[in-house]
Amino acid sequence: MRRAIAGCWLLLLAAIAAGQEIRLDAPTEPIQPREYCQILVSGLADAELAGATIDWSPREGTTLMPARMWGGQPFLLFSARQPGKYSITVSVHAWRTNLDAAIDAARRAAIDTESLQLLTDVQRQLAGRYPPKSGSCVLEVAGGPPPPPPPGKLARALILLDSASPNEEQGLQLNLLRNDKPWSKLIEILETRQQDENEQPAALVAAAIKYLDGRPLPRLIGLGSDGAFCFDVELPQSAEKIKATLIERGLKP
Amino acid sequence: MSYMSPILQQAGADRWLDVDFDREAEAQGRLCGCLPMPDRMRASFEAKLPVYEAAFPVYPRAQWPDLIAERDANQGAGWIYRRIRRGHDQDGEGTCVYNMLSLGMQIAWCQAFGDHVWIPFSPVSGYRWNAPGPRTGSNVWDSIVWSENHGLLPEDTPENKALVAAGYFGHTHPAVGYGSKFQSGWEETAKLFRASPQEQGGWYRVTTVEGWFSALFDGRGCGGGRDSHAIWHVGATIDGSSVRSIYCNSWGKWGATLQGSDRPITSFGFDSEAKVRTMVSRGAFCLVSMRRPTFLDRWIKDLAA
Repeated sequence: MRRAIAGCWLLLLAAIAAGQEIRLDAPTEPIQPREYCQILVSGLADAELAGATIDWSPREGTTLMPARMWGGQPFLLFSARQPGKYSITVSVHAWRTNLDAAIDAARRAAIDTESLQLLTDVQRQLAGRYPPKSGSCVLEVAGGPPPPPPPGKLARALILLDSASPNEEQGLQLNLLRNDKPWSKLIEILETRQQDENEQPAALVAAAIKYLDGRPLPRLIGLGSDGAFCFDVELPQSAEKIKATLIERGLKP
Repeated sequence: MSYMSPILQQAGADRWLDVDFDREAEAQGRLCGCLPMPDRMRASFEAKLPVYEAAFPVYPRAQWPDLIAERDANQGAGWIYRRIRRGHDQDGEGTCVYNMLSLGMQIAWCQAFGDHVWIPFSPVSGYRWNAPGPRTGSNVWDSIVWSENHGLLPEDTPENKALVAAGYFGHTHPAVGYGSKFQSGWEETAKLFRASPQEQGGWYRVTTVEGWFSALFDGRGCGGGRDSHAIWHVGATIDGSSVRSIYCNSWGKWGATLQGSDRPITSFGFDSEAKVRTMVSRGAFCLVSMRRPTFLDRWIKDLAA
């Protein structure tokens, strides 16, 4: 009897070992919060896809979508809002592990031999017909602010003021900034209500407001040579700090 | 020891304090040209312009000496008179109101977009449509409405003509010359150079001496009329106890000398609180922002290339 039980365990272990056939290829470098990454899934037959299950942890603040490419290659699209390590497992016939666990529990509970035999017979029959397979990966979402762009990428800057909520210190500091001729050429100081000649919101202001997505004003915003926004921070409180922030990000007159 | 602004320590600075413009104009062979606002117009001015003091900070008087000292440092680096590149000259015409307007618009323009895209505006391009003759003068409310609805043309300087040649805008106009002809389609160009609409934060009405000086402290120019003359105020100064408002006149080389954007400019005078109070009581105003025309994106991009 003991030999039979040992044989069952060997069978189960072999089945599990044989089941590690799904491969998940995730990025090896950390991704940024809210960035989507693609995890390629291989080792799954078309017929197995429908019954495949995905488990991941932690789940809070994550988005995970299974999809297929034009050529049929399955993949997962994943993003997370919070920094941390996320483990993802894809399984086929994962329900089998519940059956195995049930038999294990029944054995420990020393149920009657006849019933246990019934269960192990079912298990043995299903082992060949529905072999479990799984694959896992761990990916990292980086913490902290996004890295500054490489030096030289920034071309100019915009200071966006809230027309409805002026700051008492701004007037002096912005005048000092304007009197620094090399820097003055690189910076525009606009207000949220500024319009163009066609009675429309000034294009740069409208784009900046959209880019900021509700972040509080006043704000210092960097623009690349292509006009795209590169970064934004709360407006530093002095002309010197504004310049230092821009130098740190790679902008120099 | 109480603080005295460096400009007032210059020899003869008192000569330019509370100048009686009627007498000074006669002595200098100059014209003024600011007509009082009729009652109906005054009512419109008060009804339509938002009050500056309700929208922006007003600084307690006790802070004024320190605020002035901070802005005086480094040749007045904290004042908007550092946005001025050259003096204005009415040259015998009654265009003081539109010289005031064009200077205020130029300063607001450079405050927003930078001195490197400096554009001087033609005063007579607005005066021509709001005064019956070259020496009759005009009133400030008309100029505010004009600046919102029609705008001013760039002056016909070599720099502005080069911008026309580059295709950024279509027209320039002389600074003086009531009879100068306007080129076809000038209205479209003037539309590019307008003050922001009132409801979008362009003009404000300044109703107190405290509001007036607070606007200057925060980098905003103020305008007003007294003794039949309109002048744009661009800074403040203090002689130890009394504050004075600094204005830039439009009589060519006249007045005290201050450091402008890139050179000293001789065009400034000082008004005491009493004179500021007179201007405020007659209808004073402050320009906060100009429109940002679409050609500016292309110009800035070309300058960077």
